[in-house]
Amino acid sequence: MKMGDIGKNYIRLRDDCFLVRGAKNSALYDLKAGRIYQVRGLVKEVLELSSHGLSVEEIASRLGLKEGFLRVLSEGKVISFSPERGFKPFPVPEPKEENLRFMWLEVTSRCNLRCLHCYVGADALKPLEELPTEAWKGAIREGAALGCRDVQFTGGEATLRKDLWDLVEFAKAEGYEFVEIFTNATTLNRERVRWMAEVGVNVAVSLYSYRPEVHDRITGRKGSFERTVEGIRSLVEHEVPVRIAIIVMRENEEDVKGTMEFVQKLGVDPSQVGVDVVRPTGRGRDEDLVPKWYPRTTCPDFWIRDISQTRCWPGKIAITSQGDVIPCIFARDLVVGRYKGGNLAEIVRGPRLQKLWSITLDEVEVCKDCEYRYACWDCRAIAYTTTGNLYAKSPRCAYDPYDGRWPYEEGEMEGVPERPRGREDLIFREIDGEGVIFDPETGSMHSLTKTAALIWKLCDGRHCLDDIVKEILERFEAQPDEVRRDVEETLRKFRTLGLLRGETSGDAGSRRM
Amino acid sequence: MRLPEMRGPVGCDDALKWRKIYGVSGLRLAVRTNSRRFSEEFGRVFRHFETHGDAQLVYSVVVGREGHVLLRGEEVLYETGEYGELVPALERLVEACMVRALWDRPVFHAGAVAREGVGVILPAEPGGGKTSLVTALLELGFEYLSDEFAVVDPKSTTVLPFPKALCFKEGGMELFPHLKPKGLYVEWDMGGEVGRLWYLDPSDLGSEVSGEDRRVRYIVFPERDGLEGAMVEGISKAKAVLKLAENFLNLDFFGRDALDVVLNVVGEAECLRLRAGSPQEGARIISNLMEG
Repeated sequence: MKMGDIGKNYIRLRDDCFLVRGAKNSALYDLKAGRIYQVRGLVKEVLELSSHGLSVEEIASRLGLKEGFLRVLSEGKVISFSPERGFKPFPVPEPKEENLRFMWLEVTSRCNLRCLHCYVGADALKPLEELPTEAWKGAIREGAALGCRDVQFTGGEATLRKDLWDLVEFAKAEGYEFVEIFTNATTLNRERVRWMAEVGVNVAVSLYSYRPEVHDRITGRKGSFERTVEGIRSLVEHEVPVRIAIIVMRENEEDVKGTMEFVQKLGVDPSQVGVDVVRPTGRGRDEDLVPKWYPRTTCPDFWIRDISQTRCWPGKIAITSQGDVIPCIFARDLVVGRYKGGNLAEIVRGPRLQKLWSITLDEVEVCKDCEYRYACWDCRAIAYTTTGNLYAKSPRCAYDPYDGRWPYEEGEMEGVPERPRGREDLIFREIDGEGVIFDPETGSMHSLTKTAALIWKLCDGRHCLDDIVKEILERFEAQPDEVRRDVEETLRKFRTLGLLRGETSGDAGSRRM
Repeated sequence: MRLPEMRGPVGCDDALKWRKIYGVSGLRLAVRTNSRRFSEEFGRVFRHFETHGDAQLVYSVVVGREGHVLLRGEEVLYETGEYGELVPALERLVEACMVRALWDRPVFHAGAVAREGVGVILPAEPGGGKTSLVTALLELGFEYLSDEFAVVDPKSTTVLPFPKALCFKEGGMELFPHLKPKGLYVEWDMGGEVGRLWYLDPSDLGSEVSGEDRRVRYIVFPERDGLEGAMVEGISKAKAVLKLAENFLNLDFFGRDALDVVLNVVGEAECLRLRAGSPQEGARIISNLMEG
């Protein structure tokens, strides 16, 4: 095969482009444009061989390619041909001590509403050991001394604290540039809103639906919709920067579009309307709240320029109303210290928080084999609260790096471990044929139907999917196709919940069964 | 921290001279206060826990003209300008302390009643309707064990009495209007809204407080799914284990044994989920079920 003038050359990636390998596919990171491209099939093979130092001619020969194909590859300006070898590895950021950048101050766990999904489990009756005013001021002062410039006052309902306004002013005086109050806006009056405008405070408001009955059903308080909307109107009227959080759950999943439109009609900037799916924390753990059809999964919309900023929680802490310091408001069990006045720096610089902040997806099961691991805005809090395993893949992510597919490609997620094996540290008990799995490390439990219990028992590293299906068919009367689907689904759930051993055997490409 | 001015409203004195001892599971707590009113009100809530002897922990409640403070030893735990918050705040603190003291016994977030020696526990999260259902059962003649905490002996799987006064939130109290005047009522301002609670001693309902442990024979999970109509149905033991574990307050204390502890409690019990239009209806269903 003749390759003309480029034959003896090597493929080079542009200086700001890098190839990251996953178990099945790879991804091309264009840090200049901030884009990530999935690389699979022939292109993947070309780049893989290039990274191993093969020349264009050698690659073309090995893969049976024509010159034209390789020339086309270079048209995107991402690759070029050079007489010198050069395929730089991805510049994984060095671990470094993180600084405090953002604080959530949960000044109270009381709330005048009782939302179905509240992550704090807040209600009107939670006045336990709330930090007093001076302690909050201490935390604000110490946070500022650590370089933190962004703070959010939240709850519960933060405005139930009579000293909130004093605390906000104090934060401003301490030099915080971004001060936000997260509120249900039901307690705001015009005088207070005017004050907010003067002080220069940002406000975030949760609104669940444009339909009053749906919003009120979620908040558990009749009339809350009217008061919240009145609050938003007043904030907009007084030009207080306001953003709206729409939390999606089963009750309001059909209302998301309508609510976004409604909020915009109220005068809120569309870019300030955020949608998030209910988090599995506090009352949000109720599985009945999970939306039936609204997508809960992460989809490929990656964008990256600064590779040191690819994870959510580094640089952030939340201080609960009782003084517990946690890395995120949704990671309530990951207490890294107790704020007692004067010890915030010690907690922030302490090994526990620094370790949590420094976790990368290179340490996380499944994710470590994903080609998007340096671009994923991963949520460790969701992974932890759902699976009880800090190093489990987030169940909100639908991408399977071993199969290389996104769920929408074939309607559902494909791929199951070839010979799945349950984690040995888990405790399994059978009861009336059904099963319960207990993770003593985290306290999480999972109940299994009779079929799932049987599947679990067969997850011994020796049985493959076909074996498991066969065993099930021997014991239950069912259609083979149906059983196969059920087994696949169950194994995916086991893996999503971090119940299976992390290591994988055999060739990644053969995982598809 | 500066304590509030001790010379307060009528009923207060300069010293923390009102003092009561409360005990559970070997732990004795002293609650001392400068307010006779507070001492009496809190005493109504924990009446069945009153005891004598030396205290291992001392809570102080200082009621002042400008504000009120709760302390444990010398440590300030809570400050408030709302007198009405004091009873529920100390109640929560004492409960938490008692639960911590019960390190060898599983404590579940559950109502608990008994009839003819047969124990029924009703696990549900706060606001899940435990108090209402317990009250309706008491009105049908059940014995009172607890409206909030089912303390279980893991060996005998009996539920121990934890007879704190029944605590009603506003919605729950409306379901029993005839009981409203009998309760201790507390209220406080919550930024323009009013927090309200009613405490009722079971004897206010004419009910008996069980002095004995009762074997757990029924575990009933009350549900509020927003659907109409009453329903009671059996659930699998595995599901019951999971649901009970969700309400296992001191699970951490049991380490690797936690699952076996829950399995043991579920053991021979009949496990049901219950939906009812009203607590009275739910209570009737449970009562009929027990009558077979």
